Amino acid sequence: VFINCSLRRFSSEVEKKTQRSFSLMLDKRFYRERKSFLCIDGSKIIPSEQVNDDYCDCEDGSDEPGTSACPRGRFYCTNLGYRPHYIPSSRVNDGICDCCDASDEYNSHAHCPNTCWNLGQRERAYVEGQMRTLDEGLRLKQQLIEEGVLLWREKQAQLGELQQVSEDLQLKLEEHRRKKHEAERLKEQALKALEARDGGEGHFFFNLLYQLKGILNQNIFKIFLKMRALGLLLTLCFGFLSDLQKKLAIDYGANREFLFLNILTPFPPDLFHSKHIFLVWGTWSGTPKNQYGQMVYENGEPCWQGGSRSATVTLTCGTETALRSVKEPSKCQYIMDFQTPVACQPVLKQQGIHSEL
Amino acid sequence: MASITARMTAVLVLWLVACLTGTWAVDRGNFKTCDQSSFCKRQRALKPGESPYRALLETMELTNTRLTLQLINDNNKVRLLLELYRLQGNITRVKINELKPLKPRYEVPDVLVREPPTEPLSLLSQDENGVVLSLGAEAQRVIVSARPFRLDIVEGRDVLMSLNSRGLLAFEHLRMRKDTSQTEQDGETEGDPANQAETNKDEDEKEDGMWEETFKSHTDSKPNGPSAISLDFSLPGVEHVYGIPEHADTLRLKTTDNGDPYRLYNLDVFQYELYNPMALYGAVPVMLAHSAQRTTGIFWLNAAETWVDISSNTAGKTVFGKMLDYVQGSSETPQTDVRWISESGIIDVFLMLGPTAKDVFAQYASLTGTQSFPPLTAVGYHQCRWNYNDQEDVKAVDAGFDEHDIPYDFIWLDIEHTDGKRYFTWDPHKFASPKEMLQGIMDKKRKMVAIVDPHIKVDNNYKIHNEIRSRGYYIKNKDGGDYEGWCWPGSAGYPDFTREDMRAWWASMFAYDQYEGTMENLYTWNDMNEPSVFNGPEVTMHKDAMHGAWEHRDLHNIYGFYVQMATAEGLVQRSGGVERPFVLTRAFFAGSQRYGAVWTGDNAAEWDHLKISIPMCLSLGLVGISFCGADVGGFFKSPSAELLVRWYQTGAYQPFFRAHAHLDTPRREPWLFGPENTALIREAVRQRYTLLPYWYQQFYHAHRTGEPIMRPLWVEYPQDPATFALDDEFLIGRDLLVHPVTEEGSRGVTAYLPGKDEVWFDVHTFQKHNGAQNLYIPVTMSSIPVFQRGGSIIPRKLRVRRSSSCMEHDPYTLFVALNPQRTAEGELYEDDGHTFNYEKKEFLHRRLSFVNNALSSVNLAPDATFTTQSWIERIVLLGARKPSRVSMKTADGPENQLEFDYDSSTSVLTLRKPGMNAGADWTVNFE
Repeated sequence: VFINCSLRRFSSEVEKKTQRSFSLMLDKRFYRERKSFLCIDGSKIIPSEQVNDDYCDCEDGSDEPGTSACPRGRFYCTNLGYRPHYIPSSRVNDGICDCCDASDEYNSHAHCPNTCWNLGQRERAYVEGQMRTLDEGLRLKQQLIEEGVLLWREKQAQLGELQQVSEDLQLKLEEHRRKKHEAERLKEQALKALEARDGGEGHFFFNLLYQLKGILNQNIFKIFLKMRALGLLLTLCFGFLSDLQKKLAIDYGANREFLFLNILTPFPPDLFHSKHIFLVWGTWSGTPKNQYGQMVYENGEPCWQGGSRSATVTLTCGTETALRSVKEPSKCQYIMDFQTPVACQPVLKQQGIHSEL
Repeated sequence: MASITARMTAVLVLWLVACLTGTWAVDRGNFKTCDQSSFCKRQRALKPGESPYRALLETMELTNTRLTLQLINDNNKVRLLLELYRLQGNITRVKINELKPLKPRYEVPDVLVREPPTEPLSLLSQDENGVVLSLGAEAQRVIVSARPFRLDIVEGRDVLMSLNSRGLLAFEHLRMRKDTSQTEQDGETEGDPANQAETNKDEDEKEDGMWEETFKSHTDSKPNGPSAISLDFSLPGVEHVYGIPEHADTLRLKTTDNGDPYRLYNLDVFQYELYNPMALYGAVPVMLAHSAQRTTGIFWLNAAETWVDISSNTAGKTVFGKMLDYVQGSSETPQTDVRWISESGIIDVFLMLGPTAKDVFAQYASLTGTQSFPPLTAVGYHQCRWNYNDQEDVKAVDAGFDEHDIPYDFIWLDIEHTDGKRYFTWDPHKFASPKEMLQGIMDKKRKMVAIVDPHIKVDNNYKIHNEIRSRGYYIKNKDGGDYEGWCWPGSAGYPDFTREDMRAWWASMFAYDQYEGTMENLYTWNDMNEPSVFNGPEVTMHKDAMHGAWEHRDLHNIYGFYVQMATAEGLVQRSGGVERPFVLTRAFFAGSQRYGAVWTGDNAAEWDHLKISIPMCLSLGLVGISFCGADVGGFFKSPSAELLVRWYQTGAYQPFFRAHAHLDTPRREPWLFGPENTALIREAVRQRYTLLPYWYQQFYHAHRTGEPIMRPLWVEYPQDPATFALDDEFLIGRDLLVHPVTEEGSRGVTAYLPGKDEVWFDVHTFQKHNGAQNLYIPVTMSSIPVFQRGGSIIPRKLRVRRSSSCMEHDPYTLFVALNPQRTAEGELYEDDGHTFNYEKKEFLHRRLSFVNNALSSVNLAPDATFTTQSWIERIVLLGARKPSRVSMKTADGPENQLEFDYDSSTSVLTLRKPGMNAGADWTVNFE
């Protein structure tokens, strides 16, 4: 426990040092206070003169937070006025400006201006813009959710109607089937009677039966035509029904907010100039945190030289619903950026505010 | 009935097999076999031992520099002129041409770096059967036998090489066409007996293919008729021959008795097959012959279509058979016989007589020059793909490397970057502001390569086309019009790069004001320069196309050489002669090493293609082209993550290190295969970058000496027969041995560590192994086996950064691997990395040596000047003992003690921060 504690103490201490690596590095007094330094991973104790002396002693790079000596080291850009961040040690004094405060190029030919203030300003303006978008987006999203509720009801009603119609049609069809069966039975009886009298004397009776047969045939044909019409209607109805069921089976998000998006074919009709279904809806593929942040379309139109088209669509928050960009990094594999208010998330807003300086 | 069904089944099966294999193999039917190439068929049909050639000794003339002698073909009385030169550096040159050809025959220009300086020849003896000449200072003689004509080169009692010993010398003399009636011809052909012999009935003029030849739908009009040449060489004592690239075959060349000869004819082969003698993109007509006693070489300077037959009297004998021969004393001397056949031109052959491999490299270098010294950055990692789609894409890929902390130096643009495949232009939408893009790359100290192919779109609105046409620079078709073929842009013309004025104009097109949107960090890639003609015979140019007075037939194999030459010259010129160029080419010829790098063309993402990259680059290195690499990952198809990782690990240890992929394949930038594989690839690329100082030093050495960088083991261990056929491992320089892992799911490899008295250190574990043994090494995915030779010192830079330029001023770590005698030696070379100033002695070249427990650095080039900021941050001794004290002394400083750390489990001694400047004189003493 003690080792653990002391380790943690050291680590946090070094962490602090690291965070202000370069400015403190010059402050030799700080190091004279302690005679030795324990690598953060605890692997080695070195004299404190060897901290930031441009030679890597610690396996984990912790002794050289201010130089490029350690392959696994990190350098801390304070970036006052902008966002602080770490860069790999290999970018210290490599002649390329990485930290906006120029602290990484303290011993190189590169002339790095301090751009943190400008970057910060731009960032703040950007964040503000994002915030406005988010506010507006969330408002629109709420509308769409409300509309979605209506739409869902409407669709459910449609579904009910269609189901009712199909049931009716099925019943009617059944009824006609019965009628047809009856008529056929009658006809059969008539035919049997006719056969039994065949060659017999009752010419009149024969004629009558013959006429009856004609009428029965006509009747059967009428029923048959009706049944065909009913059948066609039913097929049509089933088609609508299964389409609708398929649509309604899709996951439209917690509040069905994606209902208004025509997820099966959300792309502008002129995008691919294709007669076939270009891309087929696959699944949501976002992160566990943001499940609805990405969608995948697969098994699209076959691609020249095998394979089929696919797309990964990223949904981002915006005030309009529109496809913002389409890229094809590999042949027939598209990456799209889709903006829509329903992708706006209140969580994001909190994070945004938090990350703002 | 049964037989019919059986036959049908057989046909069906065959058809099925053809269909199945056809999808991924080369369509062999597109390319000629020897039988389908009339001159090859004709020549190959000649029987050995029936040479009609006789030397006319009375015509012999011997001057101080050369011997000339007439040969006569007793069948048709045509006379040839033999010229024999003794060249400086143990080379003998033999030229044979018609004494009085009907019209001049093509002699290959521009390949030799100069007219080779000669040495005196002297006559030792002469009788009616022949003459004996002394060859220069060496104790060598050449014996010219008269009947039949034959040349033997002898040293002491050993015959080194014999020419026409099998009597396969053949020289199809130029003649008038005889398709009109015989009588009309007679009058014209009389008169000059030396040239036009009496009509001989044995010589079958009616034979197919002499005056016209058809392959598939293409007819070769052959207005000059038959013009082939052929000569055989016997190599007594030789069982191993190498070279004559480019073939996708083993390092050791195979005998060709039971199949086609090796073919040299630059071709764009779609999805080439492995392990066969078919021609590929480039041709270097140089063969090396090696035995434990001697290495020699044959350089057949001819740029026409060429076939090489190899036979051996020991081929096919088992090891047991050979032993039995030996025990019974019945063994004949092993011998390899080689025969070269070319379609036109003359016989001009350089016999490079060694005696060591390094002598042969020097001899060949004295003739054709050495590997160009590339800018350091070109030795880094190259990221290519057909295609990076637009500027945004380039930016994203560039950022990807930074995000994943993988170094790279070059990003490449393939043909789609142009405006409709018009080279020297940019797509106006996708690459609207190329300078902005290049500046962005330059800000990261990185570079770019854009492709420039030699087929020029026929389009009246295209400046380049209009200029070439109006200047008359296009190759002409047989009827005198501009030759047009089909290639990427559709209908295209092919500039005649064999013209010096055309090349000068082409070079001027790379000037920054001509090639718009370019900057100094844009370099060039020449593809399709075989040349590739989609609708031509064998996907190349018609042989009866005309380059001025010469037919394409005469010079086909040198076209690509000229394209790269002109392009490299353009890059030099645009910088005012200051900057070193970097140009990659697919087609090549002897001498191409002077102009840049070569890659092995359109390979595939298959394990066997990874494996073949080793012998393919080794073969190129042996004939001077050191800057060789294969597309990492494989061009066609998609590699598994495992194959891709293994390919990066291999490619990191080959001279030209570039990943490339076909347009139809999914993306495969290093970070697209999950974090684990990203880490593995990152590590492989980082290993390359830590070794850049050693690589650069190897390039400098290759540039100075012509020795290959990536070399077969036998070059360094010439007396160890166990190394002669090894091509699954290789050396980089003398000191690093690499055994790539080229099997899927491999758990271990068996590497041969050469050298009876040597030790080798695993560079990953520092474990020591003895030489002259087959060692089984277990492998994981993390790395491939690499060993540093005991007795060597290798400088590395361990601070791997974004690109090689970012590492310029970084300190060195010296890895000193001690041999059993506790000595080691190495070099350190440094210059500005990109200009020709090293030629003005602006470089630093140190010898590092460890002897008598002292490591010191001395100046190898005292007259050279170069100041470096780099210092020595660490010295790692492998196989060391624990010292009690380590001290360092520089020239002008006091002696000071160094801190060190000793790991007794691995015997590794690490000196902490000695700190001296890399250019200083210093000594470190171990007590």
